[in-house]
Amino acid sequence: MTRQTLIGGGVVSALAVLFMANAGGYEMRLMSLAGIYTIAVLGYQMALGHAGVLSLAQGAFFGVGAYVTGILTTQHNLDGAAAMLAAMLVAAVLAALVAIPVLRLKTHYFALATLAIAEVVHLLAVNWTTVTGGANGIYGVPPLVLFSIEIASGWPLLVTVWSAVALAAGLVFWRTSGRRGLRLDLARETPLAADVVGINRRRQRFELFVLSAILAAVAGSFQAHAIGVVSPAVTDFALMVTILVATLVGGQQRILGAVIGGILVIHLPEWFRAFDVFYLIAYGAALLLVIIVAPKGIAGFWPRRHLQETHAAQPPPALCCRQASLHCANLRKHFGGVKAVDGITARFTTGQITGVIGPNGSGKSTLLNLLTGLIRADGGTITLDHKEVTSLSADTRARAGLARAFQHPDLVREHRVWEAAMAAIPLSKDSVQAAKDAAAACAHVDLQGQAATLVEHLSPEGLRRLEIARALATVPDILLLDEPAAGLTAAEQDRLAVTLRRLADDGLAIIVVEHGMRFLLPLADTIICLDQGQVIATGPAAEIAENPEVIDCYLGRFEEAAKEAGK
Amino acid sequence: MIGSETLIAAGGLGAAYALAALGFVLIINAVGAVNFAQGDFVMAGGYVAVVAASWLSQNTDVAVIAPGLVILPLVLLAMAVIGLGFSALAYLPLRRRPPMAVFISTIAIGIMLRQSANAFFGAAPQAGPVMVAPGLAGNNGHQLAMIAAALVVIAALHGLLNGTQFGRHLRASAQDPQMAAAIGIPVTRMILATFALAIALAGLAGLLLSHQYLVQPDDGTTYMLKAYIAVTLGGWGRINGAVAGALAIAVFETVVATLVSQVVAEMLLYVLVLAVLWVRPQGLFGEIEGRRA
Repeated sequence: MTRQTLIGGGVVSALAVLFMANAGGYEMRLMSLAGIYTIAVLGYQMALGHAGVLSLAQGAFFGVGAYVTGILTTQHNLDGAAAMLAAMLVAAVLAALVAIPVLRLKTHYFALATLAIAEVVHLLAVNWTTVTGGANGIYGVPPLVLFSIEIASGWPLLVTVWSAVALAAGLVFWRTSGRRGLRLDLARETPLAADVVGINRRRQRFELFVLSAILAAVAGSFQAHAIGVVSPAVTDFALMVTILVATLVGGQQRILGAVIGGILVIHLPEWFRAFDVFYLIAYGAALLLVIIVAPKGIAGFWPRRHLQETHAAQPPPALCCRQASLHCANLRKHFGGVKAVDGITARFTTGQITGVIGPNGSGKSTLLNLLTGLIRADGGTITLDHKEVTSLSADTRARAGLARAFQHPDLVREHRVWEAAMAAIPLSKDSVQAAKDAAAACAHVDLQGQAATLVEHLSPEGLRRLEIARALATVPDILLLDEPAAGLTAAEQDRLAVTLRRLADDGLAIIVVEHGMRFLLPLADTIICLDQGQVIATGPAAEIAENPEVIDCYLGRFEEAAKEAGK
Repeated sequence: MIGSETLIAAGGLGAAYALAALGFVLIINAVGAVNFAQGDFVMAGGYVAVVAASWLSQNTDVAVIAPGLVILPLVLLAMAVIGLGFSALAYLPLRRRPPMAVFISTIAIGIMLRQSANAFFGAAPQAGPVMVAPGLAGNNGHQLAMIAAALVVIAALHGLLNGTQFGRHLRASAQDPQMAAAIGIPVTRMILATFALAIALAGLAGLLLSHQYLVQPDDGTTYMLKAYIAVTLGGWGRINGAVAGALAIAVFETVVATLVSQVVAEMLLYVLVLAVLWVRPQGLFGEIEGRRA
């Protein structure tokens, strides 16, 4: 609890008391509805803002919540609290069923699939007359009853709804802030990077999608009690659009944004009443304007809260790598008629730096992608510590000790250096150990002085080092690097070589794909040269540099090029 | 039960869906984003047709024998201009942002169109002009004219995209904007032209549908979904596939509606799409790679 939070909380409470003392029934009703929408928006933020999935079914889940409550309280005499629980359960089950086939879809298909589900729910609401009352809907939904106290409209409902908002906000905060939030950022903004640090993106998305549906159902359930009627309007696409507008205008990720969005969508129609039928046009225009000028919504104007650096390790402790080995046998991958990797066998062991060289298109990057699991092999086996991992996903392999840095740093721009390293550390580690690991990872690549620097302010060298630090934060046994020296100056390359050597001496197995021979030849213990998807030479760097076949297919070209350049 | 009448009706509906889906897929290829307002532009085209037809009937003394066909070029032109305005509002300010931003801006434009229609024309359905007067070409004259008009426009579009330098520039800009710009193609202008073309096609679909299926401000979502589904079934980004997908949807919908009911037809269509995406998450025929939202 910082002082700002306390002051903010105090101001909000004072305003709330002032409002309650002065507001009439109508304003209380509007604020109750605003709270209800805030709950739905908090849910939608989890799907859209945190998981990054463009779901168009949030309105349908809201509708499901409203109908379940309406049906159970009017036709089955259930009390409101039990009906709300049932509504949450139905929405959760529906969302879980939907999530299994749908969550793996790409954005445009995901949007279509969720929209199709919403349309089915809407058609059911309108046409399944015996249960839903058809176009007329359900009348006479009784007020909510909690612990056998009836929650009348007016201030009791207002207080109840906003208490539920606080609970929902707590849930959202718990599931999406701190280290969890960092990992969500990583999964959403840089999915490949999330895979190679071992984040199970599917599980993340599934959890957030189901939670978002539950909150939508709570909101729908409250609304059924608040207005006493459930009509097909609660499943209409217009309601989905309202939730979408509230989320985008308020802000996709901040709890404050949900509150602002919820209050605005309910009150704007009132404030724009003078525009008569045209107010809804203005509504669309407002959405357009927000997307153009404030992509992060109104809450985006408040500065982002960063995770504080809590541990500084100086000097860095030695890595504690296990004796590990990575082995691939007869590995094959074809893209159409191109044999990108065509029967490669290789072994990588603790404390060794293995360089992988070869002309463009010889299969170096494909080999890295196969080893890390970003693409699946057509044939052959990959074994990590004598366990076959050929069919395991990238994130599973990462958790087993395989780490990777990309050629083009794939980092979340809004993170600080410290946060970027923290994002890679599994949540199962306690916060003290996590802080130690993150600090050590930064220190290993000499970024300890820049822990509080924003990623977008880092130099190209800093970005490259942070890529490696993130990989090290997972405490790997094997590190794969894709052209780590490309684009660095000679002095920067030398510094990087020193760092990598030190890591290998600590026991890390390092695999480096590289074109810069000036950087790689002195650094690597062993070099593998590929051509057309096959290994044409393996051996110590000095031997490889003299190998006629390697010179013929790859190294020789440099000398010729140098002669060309010298002319 | 399923006679030639049903098939002609399906053909007419399919013709309109195909035009809407073509516009939809053109924008997907050009900017990588789904145009959520495509259905609302179909609706807008319907209202343009209603207005143009009433103007036509007030300003001509003799009864026009084919009012729909007469105003067709006018609707195309008006909607193309509207399409340019659309791209200026929903695309140009966002072209450096991820496709998701355009996706959402088209939702905003859709809301504005729908609410404008509601404000200016009211919620009650209105009837657009008949394509050709009854009696001129038999009972199915209107529907046959719908099919013929769509065929001519689709053939013209095919010729434009494949047979002209303009069309080659347009396709090059869609396929690889950076490369196209590097060889001197004015990419932004090509994208604006794509929007004009896409919205003109949606507007034509609106004109074709406006007589038999009437026009209402809320029609947009359904038509957008049909175009979306047509493109998903036909192969994301594939122009011929969009036409095939649209025809398949129209036949399915008309046949099931005849045999059972319209509601069941709609519901089954959505369930079918979910089933397709379940079995084939990459779409029925895969897709052309590119950035997208």
